[in-house]
Amino acid sequence: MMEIPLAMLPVGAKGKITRIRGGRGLVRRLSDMGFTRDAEVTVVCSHSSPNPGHGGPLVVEVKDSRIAFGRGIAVKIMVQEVDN
Amino acid sequence: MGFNKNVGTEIAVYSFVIGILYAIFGILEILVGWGDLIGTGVSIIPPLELAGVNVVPPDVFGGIMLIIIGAVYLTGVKQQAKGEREGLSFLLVGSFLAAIFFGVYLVIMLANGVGYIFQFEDWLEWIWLDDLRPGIWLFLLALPGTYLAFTKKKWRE
Amino acid sequence: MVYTVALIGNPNVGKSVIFNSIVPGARQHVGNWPGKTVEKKEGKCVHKGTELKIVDLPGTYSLTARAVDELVSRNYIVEEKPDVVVHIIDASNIERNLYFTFLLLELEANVVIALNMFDVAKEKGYIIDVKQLSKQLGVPIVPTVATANEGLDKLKDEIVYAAQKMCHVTKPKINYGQTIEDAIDSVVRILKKDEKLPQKYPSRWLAIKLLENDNDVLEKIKGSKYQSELEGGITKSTEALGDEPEFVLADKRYDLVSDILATSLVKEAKKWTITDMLDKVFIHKFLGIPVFIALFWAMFRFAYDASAPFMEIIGLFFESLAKASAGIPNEVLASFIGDGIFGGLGFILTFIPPIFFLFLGISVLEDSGYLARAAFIMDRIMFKLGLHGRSFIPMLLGFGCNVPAMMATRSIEGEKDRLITLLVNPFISCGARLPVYILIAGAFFGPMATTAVWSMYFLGIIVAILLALLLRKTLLKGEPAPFIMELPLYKAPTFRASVIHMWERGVQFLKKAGTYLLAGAIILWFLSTFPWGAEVELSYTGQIGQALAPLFAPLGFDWRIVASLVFALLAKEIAVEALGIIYAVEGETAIAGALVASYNPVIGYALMAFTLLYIPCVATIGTMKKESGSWKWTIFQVVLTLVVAYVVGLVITGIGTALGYA
Repeated sequence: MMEIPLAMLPVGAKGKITRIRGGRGLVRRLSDMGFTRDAEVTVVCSHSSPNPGHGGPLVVEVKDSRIAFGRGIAVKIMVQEVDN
Repeated sequence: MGFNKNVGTEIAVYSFVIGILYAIFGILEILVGWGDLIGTGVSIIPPLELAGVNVVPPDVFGGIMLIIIGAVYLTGVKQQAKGEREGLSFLLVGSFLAAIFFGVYLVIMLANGVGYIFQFEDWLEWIWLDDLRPGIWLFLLALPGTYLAFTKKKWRE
Repeated sequence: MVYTVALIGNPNVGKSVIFNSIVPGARQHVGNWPGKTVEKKEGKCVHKGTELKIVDLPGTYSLTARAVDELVSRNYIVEEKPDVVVHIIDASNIERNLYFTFLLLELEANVVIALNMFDVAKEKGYIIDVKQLSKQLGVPIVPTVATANEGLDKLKDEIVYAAQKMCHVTKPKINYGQTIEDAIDSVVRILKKDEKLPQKYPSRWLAIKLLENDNDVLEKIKGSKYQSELEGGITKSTEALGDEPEFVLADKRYDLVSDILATSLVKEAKKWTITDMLDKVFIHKFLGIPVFIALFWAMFRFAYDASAPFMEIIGLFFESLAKASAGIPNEVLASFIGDGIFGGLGFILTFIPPIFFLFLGISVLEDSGYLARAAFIMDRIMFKLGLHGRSFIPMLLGFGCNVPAMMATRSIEGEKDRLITLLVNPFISCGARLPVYILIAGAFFGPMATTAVWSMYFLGIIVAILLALLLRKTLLKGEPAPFIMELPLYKAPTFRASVIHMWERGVQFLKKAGTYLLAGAIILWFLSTFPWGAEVELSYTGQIGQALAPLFAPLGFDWRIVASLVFALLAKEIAVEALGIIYAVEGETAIAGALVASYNPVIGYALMAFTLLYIPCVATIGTMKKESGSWKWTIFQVVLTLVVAYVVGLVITGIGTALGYA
């Protein structure tokens, strides 16, 4: 299955993290918050859109907590979409 | 997942009515208060009085806030009519906002009461009815319906 | 025998509630970790005859060397070796929280877990087998609901028990799997050769950190004879692990967490929680911002309108004290106490109600969990302005008082983001400037007075934004740090907790009042009363004003205004008092009258803007130095604000004169 950036998942969709495209600092930070390989994330709210250059922040649920972050980060988290 | 479609329609109509009421009074507050904002003292419509008491206070920003509350109620109408559970979120938040404004205006009224009791300079001409604004009684009006919507077993899924 | 107990955990787990419940307020002591801007909270309590010293460590998500607060926590545990470390876990969020437990076990801390927010977990449909969990981790676990005071006694029991048996029990070791354990072992073997290191720090922890390329630990091994051997060992082990050790270890920890939870946690079908419902609207694409505006407007209305009669009460109280002191036989003393202290200070203290009410409002919004959403909504906008979403809360607090606002910037991660927020914060109109606006606007603008006052607030915001943009493009280039924020579940704020938070922030303002304002009032009194009996122009105040007046001529400010501005440096509220003394009149109406007689509306408005924007009060300058840690930036701020104020003043004067209001 294809890898897509988390930013492209619609609201309510679930994805499994494959990798994070970023510097160590970001990867570590995200990992501390629960974004590790194979972790499942559910998109709670998205002001992002599939169109590049558009959109805003996202709120996702990962490991039982709600985390909000900007689109800049959302495009760096690669996931495989998971069926509900 | 949702609730009974008939019930949904009832809630939707209710939300619609409350929403429109808030919006209308919001607009009225803006119209009455316009003069104060631009400093001319002349408003688009004159102060609305009922037996000598100001029913709609001149308050442009307050009016905008009432419109916002109305907007929240109105946004939920479509989903409520379809029987979608998410629609209740708007009713919930709308009620919260209405309650918060009710609370704030009530506290201000009480505080003004304190000023009046002490006979302070700024409060000599105050009557409590002046502070009884739409933000307060619209909430009281909305209360019973909201309470029913959230508690009556048959209305929930 | 006193046992030292450290409290640690992720943010939002209820750590401060537990701290406040265990340690009575009177025995709490707040300070700073030496040499750092991180706050240190500690206190003492007695439980069944045993004395406990409790240290509240900063709430963090991890214990890396990357953030000051994480380092502080880590170093405390490793170097001070507290008798017990209480790990406070949010039971409704247990997966991520348990990761942190592993970090603590690596540090070989004597861990007791407080499984807090147990009620929330239950509501979420979680069934946690506490016994099983405790067995698998090898540490005692106490379920608690701190907000309802449940489980805290049992927690204290376990703490004392753990402290007492510490020396007798081997610390539980979690097995990270063959590959990783081998890698760790090979480094540990080299470490054990060194005499000092294994004594000072747990070898296993050192090995893990070295494999993770931890900057702080790499420094620690620098002096060792075996440094190069260690470096060799590390490289070898890293190769053996195949991937970046940091990630391999992190993944492994999470894997272990899943394994453990598989046998001790059962999740019922996900319920549609209140948080989900509320968030549908609060972070709605279109409604999010209007609702935000409505909530904050309501808060400001509450803060300023509901406090009005109380301000009056305080004001009258001090006025009567001032009048009473007129009866004191010694003239100088009478003047000192009456005008100087009661007059000056009293006036300032009337602003306690609105500031405290504002902080109460903010605390309620914060405790309910809404503020995190507000920061999230604001982030989108703030990002475009070159600011960080977390700058929002300090900016908001600035409407009350800049001192606690600047202290709140500590939660901002990027250095540059933090600096920009600190630099522009004084432009936000704090409560102290309000009396000045009210006086001037009331004097000059009649029916439009309220609008004029409002315009100052907007002006402050606009200037802050513009300057933030400017700084971002020039001196402090770079992108804002990525915004990642946890949105806690919504919960009904308790009256008690909100009042405590309000008090914590309000107290900063009171301290400022007690010190700077009092000193300011006294100095002002002195400089304007002496030389004794002289006309105002000839008093020291007058002399200073007249010396500086020529600089301000283009703005239309004469020596009287300049003199009062100089005094307002002590605290901006003082400007009103100063004007009163200079015009030798008493009471706001009289001062207003004097102003109208001497100046035109343009000057009045320019003065309002100038007061808003120019050099921050001494308390703020002091806070800037403390928070930024540098004189360079503090002085820069002083100069910047003065320049901006002057320029804006000129613009206003120019426009006003051109429009014919002069």
